[in-house]
Amino acid sequence: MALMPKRVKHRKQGRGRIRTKANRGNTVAFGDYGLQALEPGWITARQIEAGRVSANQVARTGGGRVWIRIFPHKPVTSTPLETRMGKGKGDIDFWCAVIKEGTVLYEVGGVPEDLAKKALARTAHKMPMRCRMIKRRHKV
Amino acid sequence: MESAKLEVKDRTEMGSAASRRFRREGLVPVNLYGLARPPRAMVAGQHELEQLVDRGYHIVELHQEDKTQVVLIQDVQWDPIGSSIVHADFLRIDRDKPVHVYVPIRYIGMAPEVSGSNVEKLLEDIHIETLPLQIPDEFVINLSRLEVGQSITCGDMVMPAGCKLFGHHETDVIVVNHVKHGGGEAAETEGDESVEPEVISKGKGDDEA
Repeated sequence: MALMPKRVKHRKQGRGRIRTKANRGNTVAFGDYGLQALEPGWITARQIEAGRVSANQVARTGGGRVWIRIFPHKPVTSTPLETRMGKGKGDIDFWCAVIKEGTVLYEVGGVPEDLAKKALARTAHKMPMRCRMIKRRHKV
Repeated sequence: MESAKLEVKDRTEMGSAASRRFRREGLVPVNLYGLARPPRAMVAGQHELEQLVDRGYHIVELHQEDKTQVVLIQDVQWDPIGSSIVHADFLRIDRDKPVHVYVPIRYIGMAPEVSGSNVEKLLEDIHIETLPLQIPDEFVINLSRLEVGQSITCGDMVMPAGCKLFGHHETDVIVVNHVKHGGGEAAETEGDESVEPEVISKGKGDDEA
């Protein structure tokens, strides 16, 4: 089942604007390798799920684990086709995660680098923006 | 690990605009402080500094014209994308006084019964207190000696001479758990109907009263 919040403060939201780069959630925190977004955008709950499945198919064969670092908090509404304008805001069409440039989307751990690269490359193909693989950086 | 060399120059221009100018020229603003002496603002080559940090150096020999001093890399600030260093702090060190550093852990080998166990690496670095010239390169943990249900804590780590663990000894470094079979994946993919989430109403308590 696609991801979605259990409770929300407001049923519907405006579109918003993505103005800055990610100042948090931009490092590998759980696994050994991560997939980082290089462009801002929205990732729908279905795309997140597709990415999870494709990463798991590779990572699990090597005994590894996948972490999802994003969650679709934003409801996006749409007005049905052939409907006259007006009559209020449309119904919720899908849920998405707002992604800033630099956000780490997925992480993989417990697998060798070549397998992690394969898993994250498959996931990157499902994403609606340019991504790159990054390694965990040790603390100084 | 041996210390590395880094060329630095004094800087007189301060502030964000000047720092941006330095970064455009391939330099990184750095600060040097410690040992109750006045702090100094300097610049270092961005590429050279990034190479040192990526290779895991803690101790650096700063070369400035004819002077040389040994310092510890205290903090490094990366840009949001994590591709370049925007600022670094160096700490003056006394060779006889201990310093606090994070040393990476390297895991080797495979845990037995991989199919029936889940290895959770909870720590990637260990915070230790040691003399500046005795900082170990890494700690090595052999996973093949672990059994299902077993864990290694910080207190179990063998510290080299002169090193002391900084923090709780009970903190888990790695845990090998049993895997629960069945259910999970199937339950997750079951049904794709979109149910609207519950809306947190504002004056719910007041209405009831």
